[in-house]
Amino acid sequence: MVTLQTVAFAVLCLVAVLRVGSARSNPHARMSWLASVVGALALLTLGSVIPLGVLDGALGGTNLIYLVQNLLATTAFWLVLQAAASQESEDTPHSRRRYWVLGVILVAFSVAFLFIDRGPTSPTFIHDNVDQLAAVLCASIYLAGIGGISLQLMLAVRRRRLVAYWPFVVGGALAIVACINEIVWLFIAHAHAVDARTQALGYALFDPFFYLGVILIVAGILSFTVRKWNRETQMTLAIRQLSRITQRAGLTSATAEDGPATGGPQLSVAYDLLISIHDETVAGRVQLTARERRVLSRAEALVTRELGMAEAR
Amino acid sequence: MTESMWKGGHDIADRCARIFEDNGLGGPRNMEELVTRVSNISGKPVMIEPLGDERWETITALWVSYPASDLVLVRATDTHLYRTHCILHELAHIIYRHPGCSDLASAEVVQSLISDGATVRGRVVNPQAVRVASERSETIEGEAENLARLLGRSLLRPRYAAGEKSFG
Repeated sequence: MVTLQTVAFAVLCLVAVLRVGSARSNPHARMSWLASVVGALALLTLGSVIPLGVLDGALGGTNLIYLVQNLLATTAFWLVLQAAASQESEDTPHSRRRYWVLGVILVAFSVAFLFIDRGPTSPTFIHDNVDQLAAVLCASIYLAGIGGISLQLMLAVRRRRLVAYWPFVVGGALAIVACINEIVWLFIAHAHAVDARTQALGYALFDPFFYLGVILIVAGILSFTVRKWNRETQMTLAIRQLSRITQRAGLTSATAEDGPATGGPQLSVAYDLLISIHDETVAGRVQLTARERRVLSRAEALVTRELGMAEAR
Repeated sequence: MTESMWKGGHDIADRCARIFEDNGLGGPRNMEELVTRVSNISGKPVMIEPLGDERWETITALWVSYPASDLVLVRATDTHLYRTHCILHELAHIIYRHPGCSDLASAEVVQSLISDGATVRGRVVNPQAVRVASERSETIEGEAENLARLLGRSLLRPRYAAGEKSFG
């Protein structure tokens, strides 16, 4: 399904470009940004953008591109998992163990790949060589690895608010279904248990499940980026409007010195402005116009939404 | 330019930053957790009640310290955000273990609350120029206000802070 692969590639490229600034300024965001870059490269190796013959030809024309694709895809999924898991803890024994998990998966399917008697470049390389146990094992280990990482991703976000994390849960579930389906049909093909038409139908189920899963996970990542941009834009506008009130009234905004600003400096500035305006109003030093009261009310709703409402862990 | 209502300066800011750090006040993620933390610091239960109204005039919150508990009263008619900040101001007094205020104890709205050796301190938003409080009392209020702003900042977390940190 070239269309879904191309859409997934385009979405990943878009996310990678949009989040360059975030990755530069926020070290915590680099893992997921790198996942989108590596994921885009993995999708590029499928041949829907640059012909497979060109890519694999550059590597000798012996389907080495399939191994590269698997290495990139597994790493991309693992990076997304690390980004999600890093929310729980910066450096736990669990996150260290995951390096080993990644290493074992990569080495395992790479070793199996080396035992495949490979022919010339083919977009259906594994399916063409399904008679070889090494080919079935190589693909199965890779798919089991992706499925396992997807399951860990679902577990990592299970305690979070579903309203924000459902794309990770549904995307992970779709990827797992796709992987299990493909493994089952590879073994069926290896055993020649069904006719060619049924086999083709079985194989065809992989793409829609897998690539929709990928698109959903990437959409989940993007949703946080958009959410942050949206809030920061609204906050910038609110601060501008509140500052006009304090300037008009000639107020000195009492602002605490440098301190904890969990939600970023904008939230703190808006908070200080709001409290100062309220104080001055109660003290009777400022009379707000109807328009200013509306501005105050809107800005306050924006800040209140964030006050003490941190994500449940 | 209108004079700020609260006494500030580097000394007060430094003391607040130290108290914030020493008491682990950046840890609580919401008001409930913060009140528990403050209660642990003071060794007394802290109760918060929205009670007052505009009749309190320029008093926006009160801290009544009983021997066995602390009571924070805020004006029910104020907005959620402003009320929250006024509560934080009173919690800051408790954290600082500030003394009561004799000037405020004579105020009509306060008198009915004082019994059995209770002391009281309130957040009064009068401009410094019209205040009759002592220099020490001004410093105490400045400390509470500064710490309240630090506490407010630490509670201001985006709803999906962890997600935004990794994926934003």
